[in-house]
Amino acid sequence: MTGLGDRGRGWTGALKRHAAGWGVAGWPLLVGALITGSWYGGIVAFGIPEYQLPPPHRIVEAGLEEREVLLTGAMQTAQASLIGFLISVAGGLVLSILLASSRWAYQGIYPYVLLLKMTPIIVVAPIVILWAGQGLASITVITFLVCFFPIVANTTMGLRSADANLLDLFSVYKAKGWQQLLWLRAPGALPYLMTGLRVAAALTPIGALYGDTVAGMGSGADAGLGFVVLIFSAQFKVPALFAAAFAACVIGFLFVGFVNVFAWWVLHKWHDAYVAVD
Amino acid sequence: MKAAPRKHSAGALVRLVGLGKAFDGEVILRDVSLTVEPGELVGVIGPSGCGKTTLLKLVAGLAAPTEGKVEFGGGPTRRESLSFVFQDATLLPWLTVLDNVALPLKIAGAPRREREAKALAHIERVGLADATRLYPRQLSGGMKMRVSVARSMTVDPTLLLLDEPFGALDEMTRDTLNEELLRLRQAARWTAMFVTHSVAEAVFLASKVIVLGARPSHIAHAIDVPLGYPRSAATRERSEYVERVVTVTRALHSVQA
Amino acid sequence: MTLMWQWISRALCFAALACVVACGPADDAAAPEASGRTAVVLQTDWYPQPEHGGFYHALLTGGYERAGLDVKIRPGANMTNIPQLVATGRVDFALGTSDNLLVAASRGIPLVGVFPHFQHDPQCIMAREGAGVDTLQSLDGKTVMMIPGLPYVRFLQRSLGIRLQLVPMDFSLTRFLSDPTFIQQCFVTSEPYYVSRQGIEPTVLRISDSGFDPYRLAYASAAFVASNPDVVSAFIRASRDGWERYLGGDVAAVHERLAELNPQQTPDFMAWTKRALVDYELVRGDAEAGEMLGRFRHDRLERQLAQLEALDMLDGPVALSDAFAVHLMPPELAQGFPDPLPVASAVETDGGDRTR
Repeated sequence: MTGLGDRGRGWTGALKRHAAGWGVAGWPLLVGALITGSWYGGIVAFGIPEYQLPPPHRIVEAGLEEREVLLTGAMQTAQASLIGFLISVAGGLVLSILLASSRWAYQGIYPYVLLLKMTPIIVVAPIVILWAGQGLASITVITFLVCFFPIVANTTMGLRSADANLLDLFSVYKAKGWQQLLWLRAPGALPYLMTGLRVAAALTPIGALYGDTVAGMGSGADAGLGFVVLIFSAQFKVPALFAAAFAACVIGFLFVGFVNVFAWWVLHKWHDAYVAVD
Repeated sequence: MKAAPRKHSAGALVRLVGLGKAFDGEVILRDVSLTVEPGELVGVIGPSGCGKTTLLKLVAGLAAPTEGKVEFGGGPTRRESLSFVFQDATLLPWLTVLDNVALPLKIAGAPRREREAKALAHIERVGLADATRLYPRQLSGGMKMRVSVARSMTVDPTLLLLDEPFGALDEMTRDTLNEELLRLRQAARWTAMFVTHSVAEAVFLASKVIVLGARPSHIAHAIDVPLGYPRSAATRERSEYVERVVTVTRALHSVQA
Repeated sequence: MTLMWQWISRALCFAALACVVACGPADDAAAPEASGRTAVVLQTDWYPQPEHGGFYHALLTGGYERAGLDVKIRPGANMTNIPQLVATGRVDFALGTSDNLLVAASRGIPLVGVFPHFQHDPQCIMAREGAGVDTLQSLDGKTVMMIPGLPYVRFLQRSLGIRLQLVPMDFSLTRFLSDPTFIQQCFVTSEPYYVSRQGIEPTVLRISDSGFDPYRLAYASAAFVASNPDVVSAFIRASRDGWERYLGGDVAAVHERLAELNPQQTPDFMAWTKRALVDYELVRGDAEAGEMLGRFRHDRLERQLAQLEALDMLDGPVALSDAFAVHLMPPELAQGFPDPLPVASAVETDGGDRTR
């Protein structure tokens, strides 16, 4: 009995040691293998046809086959995402500062920001196209509209939630309004801004892809990823559709990853949440 | 003369005249009148929730009185030259020790070189010369309070307000910091008003202890501490010190009963 | 990164769930109702409209009922996954075009055309006068709003040697009416009516004039056709009869019902559309060219297959006799198909049709 018990302990102990060592890369790989396994298993067990769920190797094949279309599509979408994202960061910061500048501005303007947020993009998109025309301009505006709100909401909250004692400190030394904003509220809002950026970064490719499907333009080979999806869909190229989804995923990963690195770079020196990460 | 030296005998540094404060109709402070002479260290003590911190904020101009007024008069003293040490260290987490200490000078518009030199001097005086480049999260509670004190000194205050400055620290650290504070005073000669809930601390630092009564608070007792400055750890063993601790403790019990 | 992982794992869980649901037993044999009739679903490609008139006629005047069918017509606007719905047995019949059917079949989606309700597709391109377009050729370099990826889009570009800037279809006329240089796809039987009512006379170019000339048809899954030959056969006959009667002028009941289902359609509009169906010979085709209501011509389908092949749109071989339920059709409707129907082949294979 003891022997059995010991062996059991040794086994779990080894597992724990391994878990600590290869946790970063190992677990995702293991889960990925499990998913792929059940993917193939499901296809065989339920007899799922390719037009419903293509097996992974078919998706890889389709991805390689359509690599040029996917690559140009991804580049286009990434470009629209980036421009829309940067504009919403800039616009979001300006609006947040305005909103945080006075109670009057906040109470007067914020309801309209909410109104904009509550209006579904599907309703707004056709109007945007009427105004900005078909193509990159509209896609950028749609992307902007999708990721603008999380930036504004988080940054405004950050700017408005400065510590009361720190505000007192600044009044004791007779700080002017701009000094308080620049040296207290703005740096204090950085962690909030980063949260907003992270949410926005995850939404950005979604906005660009959707923008593509309504405002995209191309002759088939030079279009954004959303447009490519429309084409694949119309042609029943299901494995290629999955490959396009994967490409969109990669763009999302890059965006969120970049923002995470940026946030770490900005905050790790002084912010507790980033101490454990490095 | 056992009391503090009076450089500006021309008049009081701060005079509180019939000061009262109410929040939402509830009266916190009522008819507080007090004169702080230059060089005095006035300790304010009282039951918790009696409005000690409110009193300090009224003096600092961080809150407006509902009755009475705070007069700054006699000599060079204005609100501009007061400094405040908060209950928590209240440091900006994104600034290094050096930048935190230099902040009041930065707000006042001093050039970088000047304010850093001055800040460095004050940092050295509180014994943190090795920590200038560290961020607040890298400091212990006692070190943070030292930074906070150094910061309050950079503007060369004539009046220093301290709101339970070392209340969150362990007793050893606290005693040490109190001794250091008085050492700093020997060099700088500021006048101070501080709030505490420790009788020992009040008597050790103050030239006069004000005991506030329960809400709505007013001044119940004003007790002189006949111990000259400088004081040191040895002061705590003197009979006058012990006597005053007993007196203040009784006064405090009398207002709480 | 963790957020992204959460998102992905959630998506995968959802996908797995969707698969299990989707792959539930697809019942190929249609179930007889208590009434003795067989319940089937016909999924259309748009809101209820006169372009579906014959099917509604068979439904409303009892044609399907007499054929032993309990048909339910399900409208479906702007859906891209209808072939998948048919292939997985979620609906029994659906409307589409023969070119898309062939593309789907080549990608292993087993669909079978059963009844061509239009000999020619009403699909057109219409342009405002300011666009400077009078022929399909003159579309070169223009921006056109149409569904990207469809075979005819590629055919236009390849066969005419032109290049189009495509803009995804939003299925509205807003931009066409507001922009005097706008160009978009349309049904010759529908949009021009609304546009001309706004005082605009559009140039309408029929895609079929380019030589790309598919059928518009009803189709079912191969499995359904194999296990329900009688149902399919009854559906073909009753639908054909419905279309005959609708075109013959028996429109009142149909248009009344269509107006109920889709109130935006006025009697005037529906009469106009029906007239267009007749005038453009969309349903019956050109009798002199051997076309008739409900007929598949082997030579036309062969030509479509060759065109798709040339456009690189086929993933695998397609056997026309598998892709169309010719053995279940009345012989006169399957023209030129080689083997399975002895009667049909005896009569038709000698004709010159196949050499065209």
